[in-house]
Amino acid sequence: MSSLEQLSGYAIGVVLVVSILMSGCHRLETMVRLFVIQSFGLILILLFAGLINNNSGTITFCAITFLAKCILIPIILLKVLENIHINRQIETYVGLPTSMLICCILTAFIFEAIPNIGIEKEIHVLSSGLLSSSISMIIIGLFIMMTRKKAFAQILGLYVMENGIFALTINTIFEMPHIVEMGIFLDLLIGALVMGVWVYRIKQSFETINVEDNEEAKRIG
Amino acid sequence: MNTPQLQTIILTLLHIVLFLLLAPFINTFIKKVKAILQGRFGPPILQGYFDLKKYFYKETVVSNQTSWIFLATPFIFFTTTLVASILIPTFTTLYLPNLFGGVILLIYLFGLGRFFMATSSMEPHSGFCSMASSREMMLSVLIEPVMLLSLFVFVLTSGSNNISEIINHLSNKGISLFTPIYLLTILALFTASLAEMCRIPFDNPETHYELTMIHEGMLLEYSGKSLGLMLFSSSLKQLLIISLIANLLFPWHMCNNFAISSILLAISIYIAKVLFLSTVIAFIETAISKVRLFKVREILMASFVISIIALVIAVQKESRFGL
Amino acid sequence: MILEALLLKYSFLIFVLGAIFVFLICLKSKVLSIIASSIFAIIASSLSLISSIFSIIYQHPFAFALTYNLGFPLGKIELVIDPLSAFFIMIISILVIPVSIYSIGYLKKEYIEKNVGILGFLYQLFILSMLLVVCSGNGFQFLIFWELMTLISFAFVISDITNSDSQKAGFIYLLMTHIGSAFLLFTFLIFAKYTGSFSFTSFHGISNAMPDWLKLTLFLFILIGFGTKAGIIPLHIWLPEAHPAAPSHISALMSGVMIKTGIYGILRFVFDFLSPFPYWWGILLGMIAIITAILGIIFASSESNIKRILAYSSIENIGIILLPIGASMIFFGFGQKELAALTLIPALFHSLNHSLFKGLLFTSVGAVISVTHIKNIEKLGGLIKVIPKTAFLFLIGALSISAFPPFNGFISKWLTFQSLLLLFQLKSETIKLLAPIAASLLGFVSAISAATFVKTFSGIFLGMPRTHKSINAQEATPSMILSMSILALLCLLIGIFPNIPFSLIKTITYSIIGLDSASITAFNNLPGFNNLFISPALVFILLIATLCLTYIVVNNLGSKIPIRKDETWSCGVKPKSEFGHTPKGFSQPLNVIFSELHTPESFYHDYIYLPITNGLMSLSHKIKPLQSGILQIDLFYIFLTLIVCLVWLRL
Repeated sequence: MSSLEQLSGYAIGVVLVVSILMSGCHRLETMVRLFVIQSFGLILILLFAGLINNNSGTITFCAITFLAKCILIPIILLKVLENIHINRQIETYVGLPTSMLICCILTAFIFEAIPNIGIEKEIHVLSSGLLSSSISMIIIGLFIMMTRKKAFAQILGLYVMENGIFALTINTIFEMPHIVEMGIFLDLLIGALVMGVWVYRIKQSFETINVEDNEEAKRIG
Repeated sequence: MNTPQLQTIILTLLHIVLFLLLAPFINTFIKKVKAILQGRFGPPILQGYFDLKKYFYKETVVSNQTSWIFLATPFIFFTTTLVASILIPTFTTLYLPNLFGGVILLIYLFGLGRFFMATSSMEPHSGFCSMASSREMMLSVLIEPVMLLSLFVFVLTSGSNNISEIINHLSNKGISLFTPIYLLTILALFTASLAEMCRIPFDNPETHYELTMIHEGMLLEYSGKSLGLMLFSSSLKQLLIISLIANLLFPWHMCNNFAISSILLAISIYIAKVLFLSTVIAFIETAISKVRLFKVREILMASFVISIIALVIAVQKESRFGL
Repeated sequence: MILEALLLKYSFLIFVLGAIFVFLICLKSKVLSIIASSIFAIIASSLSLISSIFSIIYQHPFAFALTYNLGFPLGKIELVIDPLSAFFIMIISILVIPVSIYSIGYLKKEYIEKNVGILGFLYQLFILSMLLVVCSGNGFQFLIFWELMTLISFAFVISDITNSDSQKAGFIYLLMTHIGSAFLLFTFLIFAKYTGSFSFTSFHGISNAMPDWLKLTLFLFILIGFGTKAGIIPLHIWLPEAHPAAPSHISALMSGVMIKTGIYGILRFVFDFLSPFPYWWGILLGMIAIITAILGIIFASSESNIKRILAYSSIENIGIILLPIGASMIFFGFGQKELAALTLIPALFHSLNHSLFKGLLFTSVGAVISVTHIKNIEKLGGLIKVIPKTAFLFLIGALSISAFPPFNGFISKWLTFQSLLLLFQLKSETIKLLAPIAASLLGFVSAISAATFVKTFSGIFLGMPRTHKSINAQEATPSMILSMSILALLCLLIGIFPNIPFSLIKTITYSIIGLDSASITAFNNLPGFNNLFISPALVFILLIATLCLTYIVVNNLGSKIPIRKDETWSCGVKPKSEFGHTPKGFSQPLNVIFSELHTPESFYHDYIYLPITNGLMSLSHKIKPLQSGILQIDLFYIFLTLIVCLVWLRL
């Protein structure tokens, strides 16, 4: 059993590193790939959690998650990228190395803060690292959304946040009904489709998907 | 059937018969005293009975706008008044059936009668009737809190809401009964009762001008038997209120055993009390005039304040000396 | 699972199934859907009625969780049914049965053109949500059901969406109830902070851990939160708007039972979660109650819209219900628990009675409106000749609500008087003084109420018709008459035999106050109530016997000339419909007398709500520059808040 816990510890590490990498990544395509890795790591953690607790229901759940996050969403996103012919994305409010540094500091702070707040006692937690990293992922996702100018990158930031919430639900796996997570999946899938269309339309109408320019468009419209 | 129950039934029937017989007489008596005070000769002392007989042998004509409510109201008004009469002792306090509700039932039975009267007088769609009805309801809104509060002072100081028990409790006090609390409360109750009996200064039962009448105005469309029954019920209600106040003022000499002599004595003392109070009413009616309709509010407000003062004194006294 | 829980569970299931089926049936046939809606509601509420009565009689509180497992867990609904909940389930179910019968005729007549499928669907869910509110055992779920109830009733209020009045009414209703819900949310959150859970069982007695100021704040919060729903003045402004806008059978339910959920909340919180409390809370509540009652009925007396009259009268009755609750809280604060239990009885009794006679009045008014399509009593009149049955049933409702014997209103009014007079036993001069004055003001309120209903009844039914529309009316359909007759009969039966509901309610108040059965014997020896157990049936028999006797005697006495009908005497002119007083004219003397008290409706708007709105508006103008419209800046605010929260938690 302890080996499984150890394995999930590694997975948590991978997921975190990937999140920080995403905040410093300047190619959109790479960001999508990193997102797949991150999701896969989370699915592994969920699987290990299920095995540790002898809960067979989690396997189907893992399969659905895999289908959604590692196959469907990436395909849609890559398709959108292809349609709008942009790959490189340099425009940020904060420089890429700086944002990686900031994310590192935030993660470190959260890892220090969360165990001391003492919320693990109140919700049933698998390991305190998972809780801290899930909150870190939410914060990093928000950070990505905040600093990027391209709408597409903001979508990816949103997905990182969602993965953070997903990680939180793993913690409360036996208390929070999975139907809630299912609902979020559905939202995300439809969200991916809608946003794909949306980004494409923006590109067509304004020749750019830069949000800063869209502000002008919004004000004129 | 055992004797106490039989005695209760006999005395209750006697009590009701006394009420029914006395009611028209008291009405005429007040008129007669007033006439004498005003230097007139006045009606014969049995005029009330003659009037009733006259109405009962007249044809009844009702408005074609009316429904069953108009015809039923005299009966309902009479019924409520008669049932209320069981609650108010005349010559005995021991032998009346203990109906639940006490003073509150009394007030609401009067209210029920008034409700139907006001409703029925809206039926013929006559300007005079509906105006009287509207004024009567307005007056009732002002009367009820005063009546209730002054009766509540009695209820609270004697610890029961049954009028017979209140009177028993008062009679046990002897001459020390006449405290400021008691007198103030009686004053407030008496003022409100004048309004409830539709007498001057609130209403003038003898006017012949429709616009000044309140209670009588509601009866304008009634005729024949219906009118007779309505007038009879009104005088019955008046007698009820007079006996209530008379017995609260002089709670002594009630019949407390089932002997013919004591019953007769108690009845004659009771009649004397009622006649005395009727004379007082006649004096008041001669001395003052009817006030304007909206002035009524001030008078009744004053009596409400009087009963609050009585209550304040009662509370103070109780907390200092105990009751 | 015990029988009561099982019955209740099936009742809920039938409501849900009913909602779906009614909707589906409507696709086929509208008439069938109306009937199905009524049948589902009747079956389900009969089950819940039986369940609640059993639960009160056998007095075993039960808790159960509803888990509808549909493949994966949907979460579970925690339900706790104690006698207090059971009582409210009972009054909801009792009213729902006749109202459902009524809805067959009413909807067929009025709403057949509209989408009855949606109406039926919402109707089932509305009743279900009210039932779930009173049996919820978890604060979080309570709020969900509370909001569900509000939202569904909102949908009914705006059912006539083309009418701008109902849009306005809907808006005010939604706004006011959401303000109330916000206060409730705060209350629940504070409780949850102290207990660490939302479960009602953990709330019990937790207030000992709270400081006094917090308890007082919570008390005021629940007064605002539940008072908004119940219609305490000045939070009542939605009631006279929303009730006239909804369909009549829904108005009956809203006024009859939905506003009582506010009473349920106050009782639940005050006696269950916030006790012990100082006695002056009771004085505060009593004062609010008497003000609500007086102002409510004064507003009603000058209204012309029938449904608004009834809505204002509901406000008055809420005041009358809250008054004994205040008295009971005073006794509770003094530690006299037997008397507290005793004085609480009229509150519950009047809740039951009010739901019956207000249901009766709303249904009969609905019948009047459906046959004439006029809501303004100035334009009605003379209807007793065309719809005599409805008129008779309305008269019974009017007599009951004006608290005349032998109807049920009198019993609860009498008990209320009695509770107030009991307060005189306490060793506090303030209370000794206030209690009788409050009692006499209650008399004042019921006198105005009688005047108001004389006006309403005569305005609708008596005299000459004031417009031609009311001449061509036809009697209401049999199902409407049947349902109104059931309600009228219940009003009369409770008035004659109050002992049965009284003894049921007595056990409930005992469990609310938290007394064991040992003290029930002490209860019977209390002074002042010794006449209570002599049945009011005697009064009824006396009234009926005297009536019959008088009739026989008078008919056989004197002249035998048959009654002649002729024109009303009007100084020699042919009578016209303008001659009689209009309802407005009828209430004019009352308005003159209470001109000081009779604040215009805009008073609350100008002096209470407008300053608050203006303050909020100016505040939002000040905050406005913060909102840049740039996504990243907005996200930055969220980010900053999260970081600050984390740092604050860490410190």
